[in-house]
Amino acid sequence: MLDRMRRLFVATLLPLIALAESETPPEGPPWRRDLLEAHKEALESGTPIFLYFTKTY
Amino acid sequence: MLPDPALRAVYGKATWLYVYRDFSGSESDRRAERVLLRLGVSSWPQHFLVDPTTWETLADTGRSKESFLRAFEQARVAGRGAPDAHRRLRDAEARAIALEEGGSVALAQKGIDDEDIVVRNRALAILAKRDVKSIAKRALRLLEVENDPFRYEVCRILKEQADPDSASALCGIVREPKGSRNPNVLRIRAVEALGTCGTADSVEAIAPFAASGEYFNGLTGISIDALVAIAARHPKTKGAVRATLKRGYPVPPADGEARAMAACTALARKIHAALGEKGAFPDPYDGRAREKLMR
Repeated sequence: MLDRMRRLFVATLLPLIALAESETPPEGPPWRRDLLEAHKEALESGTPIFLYFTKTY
Repeated sequence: MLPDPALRAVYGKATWLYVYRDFSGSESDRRAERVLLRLGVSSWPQHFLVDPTTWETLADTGRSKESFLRAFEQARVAGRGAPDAHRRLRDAEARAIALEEGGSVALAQKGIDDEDIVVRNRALAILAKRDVKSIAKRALRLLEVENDPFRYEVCRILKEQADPDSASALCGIVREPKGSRNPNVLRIRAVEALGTCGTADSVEAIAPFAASGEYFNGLTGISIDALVAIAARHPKTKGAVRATLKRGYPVPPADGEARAMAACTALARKIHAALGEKGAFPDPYDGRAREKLMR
């Protein structure tokens, strides 16, 4: 029984936890993923760049 | 927090860049790493506002709605960017990628003095593997580069090379980690390097951290190890090192909280062992035991 639960955890929950560590940006502002694109846009609009650094845990 | 209606007002006041590392070494991971290197980021998560022309950090947004809004109010860019700022960035990215994708030692020798910090970081990575002696030779100048990932790597190389000529520059970083986003980690790397490079003169710079009694800070134990190593190489420092270590017995936590107590006792044991004390380590380690050990 314990073994089955462990397997279920590894197969289903672990990937979900990993995914929750935000490969996807948080909801809200219009995110860019490319520095060059963001840089060009910031220079043209005269705005600062907001950088959000995260990683897989 | 970002979907909060109160923050929608700032969506148009910045360009939003999401930088995610998965450490796979893939192209997208290397692209993210280049942004980290450019901004000198070495811990996660972090978020702040930068000027796209100067790359100066304008404000740290913090983690509350209030601090976020305040940061956006404070952040002012230098102006509508220098006309060549984007071209320079694009060219620098291309030079960095050229180094990533099988750059030669000759290209790295050129890149280590590049105007762009990402190029310098990529060049350093190549030289660290294939021409490490050239890094040790330039160490003093390289330690002045105010970029944490860069200085971490130089410190790592110096630790391996055990080069006493770099001791004074490393002490400078320990005393004042100028321009660091993560001064404690930078100090840790510099003190680690001093463990092999340090001279008798280095003891004074390391001593405050070895004697801090901060049992939750990795810098404390590393500073103790470095002093012990220096004392072994430079016997005339033994008295000063011994006095420093004695001062460093930590104050036991007043509330006796288990995790703090364990960390405190572990540090006290480390000092006791480093001093080579003959008597048994006191059990329990409390205020009275500390006073006795410090005599």
